[in-house]
This record gives sequence, structure tokens and C-alpha cells, in this order.
Amino acid sequence: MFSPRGPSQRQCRHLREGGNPQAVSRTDQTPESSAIRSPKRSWRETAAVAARLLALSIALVAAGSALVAAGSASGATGSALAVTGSTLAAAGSRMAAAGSRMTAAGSRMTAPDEVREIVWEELMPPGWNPLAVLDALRGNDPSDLDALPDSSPRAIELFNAYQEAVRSAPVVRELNGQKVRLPGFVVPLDFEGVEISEFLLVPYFGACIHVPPPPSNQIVYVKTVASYPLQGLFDPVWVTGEIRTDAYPNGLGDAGYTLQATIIEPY
Amino acid sequence: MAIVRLAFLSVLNRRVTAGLTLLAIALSIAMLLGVEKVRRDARGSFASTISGTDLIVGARSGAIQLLLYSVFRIGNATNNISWQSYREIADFPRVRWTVPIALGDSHRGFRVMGTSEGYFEHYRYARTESLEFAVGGVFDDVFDAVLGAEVAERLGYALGDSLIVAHGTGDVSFIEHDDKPFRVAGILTPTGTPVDRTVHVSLQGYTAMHVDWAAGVPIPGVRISAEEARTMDLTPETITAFLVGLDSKIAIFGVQRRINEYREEPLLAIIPGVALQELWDLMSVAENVLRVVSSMVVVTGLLGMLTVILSSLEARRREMAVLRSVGARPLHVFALFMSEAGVLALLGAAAGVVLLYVALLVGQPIVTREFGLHLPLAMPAPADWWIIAAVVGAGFAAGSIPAFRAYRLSLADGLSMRI
Amino acid sequence: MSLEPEATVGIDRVRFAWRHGQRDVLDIVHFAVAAGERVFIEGPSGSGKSSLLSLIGGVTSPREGSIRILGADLVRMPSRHRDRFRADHVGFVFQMFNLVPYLSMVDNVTLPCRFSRRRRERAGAQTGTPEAEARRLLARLGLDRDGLFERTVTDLSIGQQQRVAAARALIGAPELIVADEPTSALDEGARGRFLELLSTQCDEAGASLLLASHDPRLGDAFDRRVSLPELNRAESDPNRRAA
Repeated sequence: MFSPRGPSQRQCRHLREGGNPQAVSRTDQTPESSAIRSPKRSWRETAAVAARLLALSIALVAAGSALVAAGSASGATGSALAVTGSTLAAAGSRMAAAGSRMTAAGSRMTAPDEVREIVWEELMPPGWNPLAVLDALRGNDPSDLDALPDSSPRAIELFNAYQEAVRSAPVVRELNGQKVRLPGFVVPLDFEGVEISEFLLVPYFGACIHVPPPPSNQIVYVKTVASYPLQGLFDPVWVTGEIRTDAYPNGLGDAGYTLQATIIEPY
Repeated sequence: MAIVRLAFLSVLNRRVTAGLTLLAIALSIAMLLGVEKVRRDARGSFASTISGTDLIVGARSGAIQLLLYSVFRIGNATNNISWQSYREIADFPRVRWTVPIALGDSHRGFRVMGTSEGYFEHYRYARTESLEFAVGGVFDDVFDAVLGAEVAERLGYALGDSLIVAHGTGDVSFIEHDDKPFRVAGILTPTGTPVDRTVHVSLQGYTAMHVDWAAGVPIPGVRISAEEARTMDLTPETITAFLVGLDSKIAIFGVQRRINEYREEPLLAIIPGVALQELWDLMSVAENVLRVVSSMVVVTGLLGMLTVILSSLEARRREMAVLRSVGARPLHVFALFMSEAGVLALLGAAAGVVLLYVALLVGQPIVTREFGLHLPLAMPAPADWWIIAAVVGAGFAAGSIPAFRAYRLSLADGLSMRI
Repeated sequence: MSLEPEATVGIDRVRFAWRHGQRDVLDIVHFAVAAGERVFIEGPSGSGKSSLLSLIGGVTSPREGSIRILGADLVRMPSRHRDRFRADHVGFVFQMFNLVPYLSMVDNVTLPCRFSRRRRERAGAQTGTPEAEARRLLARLGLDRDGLFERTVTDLSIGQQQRVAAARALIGAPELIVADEPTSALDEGARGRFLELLSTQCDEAGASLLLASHDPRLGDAFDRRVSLPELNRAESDPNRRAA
């Protein structure tokens, strides 16, 4: 489409001095064509060059992002991907990886008003083991638990006891009032329009259909002021905010975790 | 600018072909914007319908199905729940309140729902709003009815009016409970939810209607009058579903599991928010398909426009030579053709928006009646403006193809008159 | 080789071929038109009349030589300058299909004013606006009958269309009017009348008129007759090839 239709000025001067005309255009079969191209046609050439440059820079960006993606399995992907395909991206990922390692190491030492990234294990008091209830119940019963049919009274009794244990699991009181950042899956409870305003944060997908449900200290009740548009139930999120372990006023069993979210972002 | 004026006059001159092209673009834009609007408003309608309820329990079916019939009055239950099971679960620890509901009858196309007074206390929508009475109050007598705002308005009911409930949920029913008329005891304020389209009666009233029925038909030879029914024990034997509120959100999973594993009867407990999200996820597949189709329609419309302009090029070579002779540059010729495409796209977009709003005006009441969807007649959302801008931009861009051809032709032709 | 400094048109050592490597269509050593002069270029079809007029209009360029209009060498100008120059100083009349079908008569006549500020100003100088000037010119060309202005231009007769074209060429008083077979589609009577009108208007405006036709009888009304086959060396010496 951009084929030249005639010799350029340069070529014409060449002609006047007696050289050979260069091969020209395949255009429509009109016999009439301008013998001299106007220099204005260079904008087309410029556009072609610009397009090539753009393609080249896109290729660079793609290559850089691939490098970043490969080199940042440590979870610093988010910050690294923000810098587009150049050596800066690679350097940035290295710096971010180092930074997150430092954060993990110094997590116990952060000041109270700094956001601390936590993992789900931290929500369970160390040494608490719901299965211990089972062991206590079984006592010296050597029978193989797996061999028991689900409907046998013994199995039901054990299971109900386990359920009780996890239904009112203890919380880690030291977390109360801390600003934390925790990833998890969303179980929507209430909407603001089509966006989520209240939800339960759980460590694995499908907590509402899995048997058994997570223990109550592995569920966080999250409320947020700015509602969040959840793309799908499968999408995990990072929730940042102040976590509380206050007891419920009704006094029925232990409290659970609640979190007032300030930031919710995709994982 | 002179060229734009020329473009406009040129399009005007070819009114018929231009008009058809315009129509194609207008239809495609109306379709694209319409899909977006329905998508947005549907979600909006659905989302604000129920708040504050931790679990909804019904006979075991599908989660979305249970949500749809219990909250949105769309579809039907597969089975009922025994009163016994309901009472047992209502007594579970951590259950703070329950509201039973019974569905299955209708009144002139509106669903009739039997429920307890707790419904008016515990039902919430749009996060914090609760039900309020415009006139009257909650049930007092067995045969009292509370109407949703739209029922009262459309059927012209006022306090004290009586109404007959029909059996079944169709628009027309051949079996009515005409021996047990209900009295309008209260009318609710508009909520923008399916509550507006429901006739609420007490559970006792619901039971009373069917006290001399068996297996869905009146027992022949047995007629129990309304007065007699009042004296009987009107505790229902079955209900369709019930709403549950717990004392702690954390307890939701545990109670849900207990209900799902309840041995006496096959039950299903859903978390409304989760079921709603599952509904969205399901709908989004259909939405994306619709979007793709609409985009294809837009492309088709633009291609039509392109064809029209391209095919007129040959005939306009003389015109281009005339323009060149009065001093137009080849770039002017390019701009002329591109502007024609742009003008067509712009006018088409405007016509499309008008078309959409006309369709909305006409179709809005029908959609609300048939599907319970509220499609407000609002200004286009920001996302809509982007869509319009994108289509107009695409029109201009598409116009560059014939424009470029015209540019080269005018360069080739110069001033020659090709006859 | 001496150029009259006030020449409206001055062509020197021009060689032109449509396509590179093809035989020259035009090879003219010298050709000039003075200000206000009326020149008739005569030649049979295919003798290169249209090519010459195209060169003078600046739409095409020769492969060598210079073409001076009012002292400015078109060959040295970039094409956009040539287009502007043509708008400012040259008016064209073609054999037929002169008019833009979707514009009114007045709009057609004022077209050059939209592409040349100079013409617009000069058009407005006498009667206030280009539109008023257009009506004046149309009236002078006998086109002010009632109801004519409302007609779409495609409804006009050929004679009427040619006169509208003439008005368009004349509006804003360009220094040079170029007409390529303007009367070939008209009948005998209309031909003479058209030429008379055109000449009168050119005289009034002080413009040079360059008219090309194959019909030698038209040449009587002109100051000078030029035979293109004689002027054009390419025609008389067909063996001359491109260098």
C-alpha cells in the first residue's frame, strides 16, 4: 500500500545527470502519474519507521516481562511487573525479592502501625491442634479411624467432637489491633450494588462446600468501607487492614477474627 | 472547516444509501449499549435485593435455584421442608433468628408468600434498608395481607380491600381460594426489590387456605369456611424455605454444614452472597458472548459503510479533479472521504443512542413485569461513552481506507476528466 | 530564452513524460503568455493539450525545465505550495462535469474561496461576501433567471453548467484562466456566446486567458494562436526518446 509511485527527487537529479532510471511502481494501470514525488511523501516513510520502532519496543517490553516473570517466583511479581520491559525490570525484581526477604525476617520487629504480611498459620495459637481432641477422645482405642464407616455411631461421635473443637477454636490475642496483610479466598456476605462490602476470608477455595469447614480461627470476617468488585469466586485477594480478636458480646464461645479492610487487591 | 462541510453536504446528497448505512450503525450501537445496560442494571437489581441474612435453607436442589425462587420469586421449589425440621434447626445453637416462608400461590400474576411477622423485622435490602409500611401494619388477623408497593399500585388496592388468592403461580389460574378472601392490612413503601411485587400473608392464612385441600385440589364434599378455619390449629405442616440469622458470621460455615448434613430430611443451606456471586459468574459467560456478538454487529455495520463509500469512489473521480482544480490538495481529498465516514459514524452513533432510549421507554415496563429487572432510564454511563467514542473512532479509522484510495486516485488523475 | 518579467506564464525547456522511461509527451523550448493576453492553443486530440494545461496548473511536474506563473517557478515548489498557488492565481474550466453535484450553484462558484484566502478577500472586496460576488458573476453570465438558484446543479443544461464553471474560475479575480475544451460539449450558437462572455469577463478582470481546443474556428476571437504540434518538439520529432 505504501509502494512508491515514482522516482524521488534524489533519483530525478540523478537522472538529469544522465544515470539510469530505477525501477518504479506497481500502481493502477493509469498512464498518468506524477513524474516527481513531492518531498511531502516522507511522512509515510516516517510513519513506517515509527511503526518499526514501536514493534521493536513492544518486543523489548515482552522480552523484559518474560524475564521478570521467570525471575520473580518469590512473590515480588506485582512490584516488578509495574516497570515495563527493560533492564530496570530485572533490577527491580531483584531488589523487591531482597526487600520481601528482609520483611519476612524482620516481621516480629515491625512497629505496631506498620502493615505486616501474615500467613494463615499465625492465626492459630502455637500448639493448638484440633486433632488432639480426637486423640483425647479415642484414648486407648487402637481401632483404625479410616476403617470406621461414616455412619457408625463412633465415627459420628468423634466427628461431632472434632466439629465442636474447631467451631470455637482459640484465637491469638496478640494479633488484636495489628495492621496486617493476608491473602485468601472470598466468601461474599453482602454487596454494595454489584461490589462486595462484607465477606469471609478463608485460606482455601470452596470453604463453604468442603467437608469439614475451616476451624473458626482460620476464618476472618472482613468489612470494608470501599466495596470491591470481585471478578469471580475463584480469585484470591490480598486484604490489608486492622485485625481484631474482640469477644462477641453474647458470650457464646470464643470470638473470631474480624478485619476492617483498608485495601483489597487481586492476588 | 470547509472539508467537513463538504463531507456533510456530500453525505446529505446521498441520503438513501447514507441513511441505510446510518441505520446499520445505529442498530449495532443500540445493541451494544443495550447489552451493557441490561448487564449492569440486572446485576444492580439482583445485588441489592437481600442483606443481613446469613443462610437461606430450602429443600435440597441447586444453590442458585434456591436463591432465585426464595428471594427473587423466579422459578419454583422442587420440594418442601417439614415444619419439624424447621423448628429443630431454628433451635440450633448460634441461630439468632429465623423467618419461614411458604410459596406456591399467586394473585393476578403476583406471587403470594406466607411468612411470619419476623420477615418484616429481619428482612434487609441494599445493605441497611429495612421494610417500611406506607400505610397500615403487619398481620393481625389470620386473613390479613400486606402488599408490596407495586402490587397495590398496579391493581389499585387500598387498605381494607379484599382479594382472592389463586392456586399456582401462573398468570391465570382456574382454581381459586375464593372462599377465603384476604383483607389488605398494610402496604409497603417501594423498595426496588421483588418485595414490591409480592403479596404477603401470614403462615396461618396460607395454611387456612389449604386446610380443605389435599394434593393440590379441594377435597370434594369438604368445605371449611374461613370462620371455621380460624378456630383450627393453623400451624403449617410444611414450608418452602426459611431465612436464618446467626449470632456470629464466623459460625456460618459450621451451621451451614450442620444443616446440609441434617439426617431427617434432605436440606440445602446456602450463603446468599456466594450464591449471588455464582449467579454472576454464570451470567458473565452469557454476557461475554453477547458482547462479542454485539461487537461483530458493529464491525458489520462499519464494513457496510466502508463498502458504500468505496463503491462510490469511481463515480467521484471527476468531483475530485474539480476539487483539485480549485486548489484542494490530495490531503484535502483524503480528509473529505475520511470525514464522510466520520460523519456517518457520528450520526449513526447518535441515532443508536436515541434508538436505545426509545426501546427502553417501550420495553421497560414489560421487562420489569416479566423478569423483575429494573432498567432505569438514566444518562449513559461513562463506560457507555467510551463505547460510543470507540465506535465513532473506528468509523473514522475505517474511513481512512477509501480515503487513502481516493488520495491515490486524485494523485493519479490530476486534472484529467475520466469519462 | 528571455523571459518577459511581467509574463503571466513562462515555460522554458520543459520536457514531460507521464511515466518514467516513456517517450516524452511534451518538449517545449519556450512558451509565454503575457498579462491580460488571450491565447488560443490549437491541436488535435492527443497532442498533449491537457498535459500542458496540467503542467501550467501545477498538478503535474515536468522532468526538466521551468514553469513560471507570475514569476514563481512551479517546478521548484513542493506540491502543497503548488496547490495553494493554483488556488490563489489560476481558474480552471473543463470540457464537462465541472461542477460538484452535491453543492448548490453559489457553493460551486465560491469553491475556490474556500481554498484560497486571497481569492476570498478579492471576491468580497467588491460586493461584501464571496456569495454576493458569486451571484453577481452568475448574473453577468446570464444565470440570474428566477428559480435557477434553487435548482440542483445537475438539473442545469450543459451551457448553463459551463457558465457556472466560468463564474467559478473567475471569482476572486485570479490572474490566469485556463480552459480545456470548454465549448466542445456545447452547440454552435452556445459556443460563440460562451466565448464572448468568457473573454469579456477576463478583460474586465485583467486576467490572461489560455484556451485549448481542437476546433480551429474558435481561435478567431483570440489575441494569439499557437499550434501545439508545432510548439511541441516531441510531437514533431517522435524519435526523440527520453535521455
